[in-house]
Amino acid sequence: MSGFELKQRVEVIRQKVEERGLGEVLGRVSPGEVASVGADERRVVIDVDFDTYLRVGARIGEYLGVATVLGSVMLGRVVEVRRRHVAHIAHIQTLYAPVEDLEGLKTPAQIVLEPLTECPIDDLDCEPTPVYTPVDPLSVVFRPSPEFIAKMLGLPREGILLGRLYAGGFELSVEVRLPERAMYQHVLVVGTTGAGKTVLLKNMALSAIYTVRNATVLALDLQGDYLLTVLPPEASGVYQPLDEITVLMPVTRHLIDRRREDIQRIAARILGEEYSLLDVKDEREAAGLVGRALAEIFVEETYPGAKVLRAEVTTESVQVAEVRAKVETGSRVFTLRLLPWAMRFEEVYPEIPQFFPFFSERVSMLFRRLVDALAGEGQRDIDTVMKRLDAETTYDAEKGGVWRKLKLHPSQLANFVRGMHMIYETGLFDVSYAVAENKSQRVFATFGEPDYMELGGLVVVDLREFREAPSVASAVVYRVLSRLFEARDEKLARGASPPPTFIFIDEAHYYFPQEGAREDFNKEVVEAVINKLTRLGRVRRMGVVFATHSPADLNDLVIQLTNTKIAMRSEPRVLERVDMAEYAGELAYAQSGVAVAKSFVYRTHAVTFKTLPPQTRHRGV
Amino acid sequence: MAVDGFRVLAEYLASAKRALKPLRTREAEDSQSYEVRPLEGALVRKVEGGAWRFAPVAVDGSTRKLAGPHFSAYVVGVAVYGLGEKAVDFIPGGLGRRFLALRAPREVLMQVERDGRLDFLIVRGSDGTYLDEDCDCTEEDIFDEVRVSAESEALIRVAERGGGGLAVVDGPIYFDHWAKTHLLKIRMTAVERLREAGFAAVGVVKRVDKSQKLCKREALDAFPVEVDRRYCNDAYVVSNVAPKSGIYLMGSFRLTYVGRDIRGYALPDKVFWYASVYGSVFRVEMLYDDFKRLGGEAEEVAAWLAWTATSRWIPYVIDVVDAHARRLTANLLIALRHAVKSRDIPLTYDSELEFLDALRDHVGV
Repeated sequence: MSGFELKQRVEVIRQKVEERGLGEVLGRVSPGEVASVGADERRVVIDVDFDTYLRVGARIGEYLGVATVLGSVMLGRVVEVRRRHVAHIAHIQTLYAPVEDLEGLKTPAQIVLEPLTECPIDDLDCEPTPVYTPVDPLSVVFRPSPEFIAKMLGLPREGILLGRLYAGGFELSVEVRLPERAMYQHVLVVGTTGAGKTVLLKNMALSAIYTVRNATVLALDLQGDYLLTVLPPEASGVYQPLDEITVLMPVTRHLIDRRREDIQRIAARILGEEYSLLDVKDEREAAGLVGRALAEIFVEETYPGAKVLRAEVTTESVQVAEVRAKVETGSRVFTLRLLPWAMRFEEVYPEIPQFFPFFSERVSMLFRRLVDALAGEGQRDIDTVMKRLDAETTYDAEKGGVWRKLKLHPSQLANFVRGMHMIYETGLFDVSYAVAENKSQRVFATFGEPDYMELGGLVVVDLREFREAPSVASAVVYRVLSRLFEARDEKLARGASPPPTFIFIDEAHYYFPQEGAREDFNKEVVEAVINKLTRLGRVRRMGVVFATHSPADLNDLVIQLTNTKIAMRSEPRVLERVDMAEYAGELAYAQSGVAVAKSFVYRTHAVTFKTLPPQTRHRGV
Repeated sequence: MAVDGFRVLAEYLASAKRALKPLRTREAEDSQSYEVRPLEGALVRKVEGGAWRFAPVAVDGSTRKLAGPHFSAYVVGVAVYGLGEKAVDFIPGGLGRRFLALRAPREVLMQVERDGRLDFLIVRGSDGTYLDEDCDCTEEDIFDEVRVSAESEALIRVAERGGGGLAVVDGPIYFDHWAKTHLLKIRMTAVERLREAGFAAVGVVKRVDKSQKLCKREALDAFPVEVDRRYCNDAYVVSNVAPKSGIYLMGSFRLTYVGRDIRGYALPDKVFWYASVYGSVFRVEMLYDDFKRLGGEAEEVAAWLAWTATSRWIPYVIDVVDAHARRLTANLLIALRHAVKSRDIPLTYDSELEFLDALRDHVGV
């Protein structure tokens, strides 16, 4: 082929790039360097003339296209940009005067590209493959259009929206999604404080609600972040705030004590000033008033300035099962489904060692028998059991009948007693709103667990009460997750397909600590919960999104069992812990919201993206 | 597509049967043709440094020769620095196309002249005569043919860009050796175009050991130095006048042609300085008219060029164009040799040495 024919051929390729809208031509593959596409090395150096370089710049991480002399079109990622002054090119060193010659900057920029995928230029509908064909020097280089990038990266078109492709320091108009199937293989998000984890998680939760049919999103909320997903953001986003939110609100004895006067005040306001809660004789009505008061207290605390327009309280006898309230805040009205949550000791005590991680293995095995032995024929409510425990331990632990019968070692006894006191101190068991009346207690309202089968949409487990009490928060979380799992399991056992359930766990190390990170946590219990959720949850269409700023404190199992890792701004050692050390350069000083998602679902194994701005109200915004 | 062209050229050269006779060599500089007078205030001045004040356009041509018994090819490459969008522009390249003068038997020259694929060749001198076996010329004349015509073409492109400023040329502004009035006219036309465009042409002459401009009595009288004028050259004078340590500027001097030939009435007066950079010497020259126009700035140009001397003891901008031009001609020579060798055409020993030198420049050693 003559030089002229070759020139014509390359010209035709250049025209195809422009006519097919693949992108703007920037330069050529450098004739002065080896363009290498091998098993070990894939490296193409591009010359971009100075004016083009000044106009369009060149940035690490951005995508560029190459249309080769052999007729392939490739997508590559910039891994290096070289700038040289004329003095360097010509090996010139002045003896005395420091070179301040700006003219010498007008040299071509050299961009080193790592080719990623390719298609024949005449078959752009092809399934992109890894780069198999060589890249000749003087091949045409172009800045690709967003459509071309999305096509060549083979980005999933459906799934949970993570954000937009981020390359070279810029956000591109290419959506990055995580397919639903990847969610069931679980996700781990790491990033330092302020890197944007919570915004990402909230946006993902919202996207899951909007894009996955019948999805249930359960969010563990220590800070009250997810409670704001019913409120609009500062600027409008891709998604609308939710119209309904379900809040699972643990009600503790401490909370009731603290809010006793508020409950009475609100009840009196509803009843009219001449009456008080004590005047209400109908027990369901009284329970309803307590439920309504709790909902108003919740709204006051969570959405300052908002008011409850109306509320329907569902009760079962004196148990407040659900408060369904219309809440108005600003111009927005949403539905709050408040589920007060507490546990009945008598119902749950056989399972306590499975969700309360503070008992040793031996004590866990004996726990039910110990409680039965303590309670004897009497009631198995927490107060009775604790009174019996106090009596037994005061008597003489060593010689005590119960302990002796069970041949309990003193250390096991100590573990049991300490654990029982911790359980009692949580205030989560046998919670009621009661008032002393005529030397006895009148119980106005009790609280229990909801029907986990019925949970749907966004369900927020409000853990704000336990910010400083990880052990209590963990107990709540383990119990809720365990019951949710059982509900999905039951559905599966019945031959039905469980609805998609996505669990969002921010500050995951708080609930699932690394072995040894928290001495009071029983490793077996922690890992049993993780195993159940991740290994068994997959089949039950349960996907977990864990997030932490401190993966060193996070249980190893979580890291092992999450097949998609998303890293945001992090220190190198953090990235190393999640096997993403190669992205340290990109992420060590990344902007907030910038993340690398490493997943089996991406053709290029990893994709850098920037999260969308908060799609709903966000703390601090 | 120089490689394609070289392949075609090699075909023709392979057909050449007659050998070429050796060329005569050029005479030494004729120092009787000019006068040198120190200008008022001429002295030895220490250059103390200062800001990076100027952003001149710089031009340099590099030449190389590849020869066999039947031909001599003179390759030129011109680098222009600071002209436009790129830091460096070239001939051959964006600024011009003709870059190879060929001396060969007449019939070969006539054949290649007709071949449209070889439009980069120069086969006649600027006077229109073939560079054939009977060429009444010196080796230097042919080098000058390609170099001066290519450099002048580049200077005209600088003038066309406009904007004024300084145009620094590697070598004298014009050669006073030439008997070849055609080349002289080409260069002077280019210099005139530069002046019209507001440029002051500045020459930097690196090889001064054969120059005797400072050996004139009037020049020597300006300095307290005893030199036997019979055994004198400019480098010697400078080395005796300027201290070895530091950067010094000697001048300025005005040079006027006084001969009865064309130089006496066609060549304008020049002003020059000698720069000594820790004992290493080069000359800076400009037209007297430009010197007057620039006023006190003229000497600052010379001082700046000295201050920016590089590790090769030449001004920075000259080093830039020199390095680029040499690398360009190195690449051209390597490609030409490859084409010629592939046709089994023998080369002279000097050409093989030239090839090795080109290889060194190619890799930047």
